[in-house]
Amino acid sequence: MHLLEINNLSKSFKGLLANDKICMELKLGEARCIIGPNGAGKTTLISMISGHLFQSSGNISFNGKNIGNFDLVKRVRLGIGRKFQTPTLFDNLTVYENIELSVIRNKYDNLKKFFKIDETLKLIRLFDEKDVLANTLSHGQRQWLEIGLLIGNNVKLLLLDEPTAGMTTEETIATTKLINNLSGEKNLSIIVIEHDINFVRELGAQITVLHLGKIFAEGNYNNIENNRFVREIYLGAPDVVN
Amino acid sequence: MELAASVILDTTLITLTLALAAFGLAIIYGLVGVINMGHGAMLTLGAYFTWAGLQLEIPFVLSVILGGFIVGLIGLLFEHWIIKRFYDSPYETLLLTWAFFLVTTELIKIVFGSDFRTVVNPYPGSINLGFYKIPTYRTVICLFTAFVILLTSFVFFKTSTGIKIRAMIQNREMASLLGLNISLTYKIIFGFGCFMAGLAGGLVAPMLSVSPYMGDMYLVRSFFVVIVGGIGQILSGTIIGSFVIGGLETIVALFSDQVIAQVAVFFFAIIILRIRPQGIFSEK
Amino acid sequence: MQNTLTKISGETKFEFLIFLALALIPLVFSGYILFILPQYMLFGLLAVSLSILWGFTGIVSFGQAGFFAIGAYAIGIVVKSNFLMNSAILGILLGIVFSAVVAGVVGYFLFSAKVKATYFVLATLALSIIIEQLAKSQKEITGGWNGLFVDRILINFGDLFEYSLFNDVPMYYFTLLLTIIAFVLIKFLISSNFGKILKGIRENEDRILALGYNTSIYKTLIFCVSGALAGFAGSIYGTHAGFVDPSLARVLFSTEVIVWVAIGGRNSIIGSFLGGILVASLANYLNSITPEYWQLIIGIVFIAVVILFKGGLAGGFEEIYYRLITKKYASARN
Repeated sequence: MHLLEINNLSKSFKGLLANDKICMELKLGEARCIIGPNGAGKTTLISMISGHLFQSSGNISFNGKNIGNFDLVKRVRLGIGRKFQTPTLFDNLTVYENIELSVIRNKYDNLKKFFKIDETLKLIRLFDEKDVLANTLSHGQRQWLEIGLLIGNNVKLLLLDEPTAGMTTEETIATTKLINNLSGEKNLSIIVIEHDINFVRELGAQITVLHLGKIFAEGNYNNIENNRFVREIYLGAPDVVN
Repeated sequence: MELAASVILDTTLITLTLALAAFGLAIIYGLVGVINMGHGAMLTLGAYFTWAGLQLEIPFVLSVILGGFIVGLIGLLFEHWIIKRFYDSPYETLLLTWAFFLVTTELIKIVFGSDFRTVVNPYPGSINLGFYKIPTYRTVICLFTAFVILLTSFVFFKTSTGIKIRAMIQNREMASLLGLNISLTYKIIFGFGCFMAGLAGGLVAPMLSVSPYMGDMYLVRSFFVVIVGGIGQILSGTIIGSFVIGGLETIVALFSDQVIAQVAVFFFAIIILRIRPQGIFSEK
Repeated sequence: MQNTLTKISGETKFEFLIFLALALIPLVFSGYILFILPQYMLFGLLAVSLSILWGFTGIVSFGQAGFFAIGAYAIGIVVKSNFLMNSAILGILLGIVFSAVVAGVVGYFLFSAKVKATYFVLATLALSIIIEQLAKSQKEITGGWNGLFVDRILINFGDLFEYSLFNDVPMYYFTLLLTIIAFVLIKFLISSNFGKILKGIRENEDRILALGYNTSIYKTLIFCVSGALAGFAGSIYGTHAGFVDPSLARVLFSTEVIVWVAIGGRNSIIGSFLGGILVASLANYLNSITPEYWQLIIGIVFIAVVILFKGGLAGGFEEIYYRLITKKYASARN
């Protein structure tokens, strides 16, 4: 059984079709990259999965449950977590307190809570910064802290919207490792929207190409790279590949 | 027929008087986003300045206008020294304008004393329509209110400054690109709102007893006028809100007493806050 | 971690010293101070009821005096109507329950619709006025403008135990004991997971929502607790002052609570508590020496505090303390 099944999902904004009959499946522990030029409907798709937007037609099922009409909070509780492009954190609280806030929703006993917080802090490589206020972190560290908030929240499906935007090269590499670690060892399913093609290659995940709201191509990096049409609409366009 | 006409006239008078009192608040709240808790005190100040003007044998109309200007000036200084720095934190402006109310009320008590003053009605008598007599002074006030609101709409919708101000509400950065001096515009709007509050205070003074707390009863009702009418719907919203709040209060008061009427109106306003936070008739 | 630990214990020590001092006062002083101080402690609790909303959750209420009045009227009405049961305890309980229910209903009604924080303030303002108007107009129950006289209560549990609060010293210790219990419970609540989530709501409500917390429930609950605490303080106040009238619910009194908390420090429970006691005493003192100017002085202090330090005096002290510490720390390192 797939963790996430998307069936003929469409979304229109005042007659404009942003997503057109998208079908997609995601296994437990699978990572998937969604790429496509601006306006391809990537963020719309993620928003419908996270519950920030509701579909015009079609359905979404998660863990065998139809979640198409669940609100945001309900989906979060099932284990769907989304990271936005610009991190939203508790800026005036410490890194530790940030993670703690996400962990305590699970109503663990104290010992388990401390283990979970510790584990999360180490995963996102912020253990040494745990007593630092979130607003003093570097840009890359803020992105990781937000991922940490989702992990602490026992997410099963991570939705990451351009997680490496604005990161230094080292931070991008660390992020790649983090994502692979999460899908490989922690068995999380992950959907990443990315513009940075180098990152997509490093990640080595399956790729879905969106174009004008439709799925245009699917496959691994080599398939996609060698697909003439994809090159035309996306890879070949030098202003998009940065 | 005659009954209907008199009810319509009565309602119009109530609506426009309330709209006059709420107008300054609606401007400041709708355009610069400050909940001016000092609005009531500004009304009171306007009334006292008008009273003082009359004591100096300045004609009524001039006293009211002078009173409005002085309150506007006080508002400008308050904005310049304090409020200016807090536009981005609504709680702070709320507390600071409330502090303005506290301090101003105390100053009024110290300067003018706590006893009631009367401002003599400059236009006593009434206009006899045969079936109904409308008090002359209230009619004058209502015509004036209608004039002010129409004039403001004209500035707001037909002049380039008005268009820029509307652009500013939508998008501050965009408006500054259009060459609008944002901080100056905020200052002028805030000052104008205070001026209107002072003017309204002076104008309602002959209908009430002037006392340090006379503005209080208008403060909360003005808020509900703004909320029911819809924030930012400065012109139509103020009229609609005044109509609903004033009308409801009058109708409920017919069947019970004044206190219950006020309580009912507040309940109604709280319910509106919940079900239509954008205002009773305005679109989202 | 080390830092937060020492900080917490420092604050707890300070709180302990304050309550110890309050407990020793009747041994040293006598007369008016023993009569008036319990009232100020209850004002302190009223301030705490706002601080848990404003400082710890980010919600301002202009209606705390309304809940205080509900508590005071509850005990007044219960004691007057002489129920069979122990009317004192029943009155206090009803005071708590009524104000909690009113807060819960209003809170849920508004929070579940995600009403803007500033609108919520206006709604609490209206609530306060409604309570005041009802107190004035429902003469048969509340005594209208004239208010109600409330006897000092007698605490008894059957025939086992009886404690009269008629004299000032027993009343003083009774109030102090209840104040300490309420204070400790609130501290406990604030440091619990529930309290942490409230802090998260204050810092970034959208984020808390995105973590899967139903924020309107949490906000309703804390508003309930706040109302209950204010009602509790009000019910003790009713029996202590011996008199309840509609002015307890007036908006100006709610404002005074805001001033206490702003001056004391909205982010500190003990700061707000002391804010209530000290500003109320100061107001009393100024009122006796300069009846004309005292409210003006307090208004100006209020403006100064709002402009200068968000954290109130408690925040100011904390800042100075940390500056001293860091200086020491820095010089030790050099």
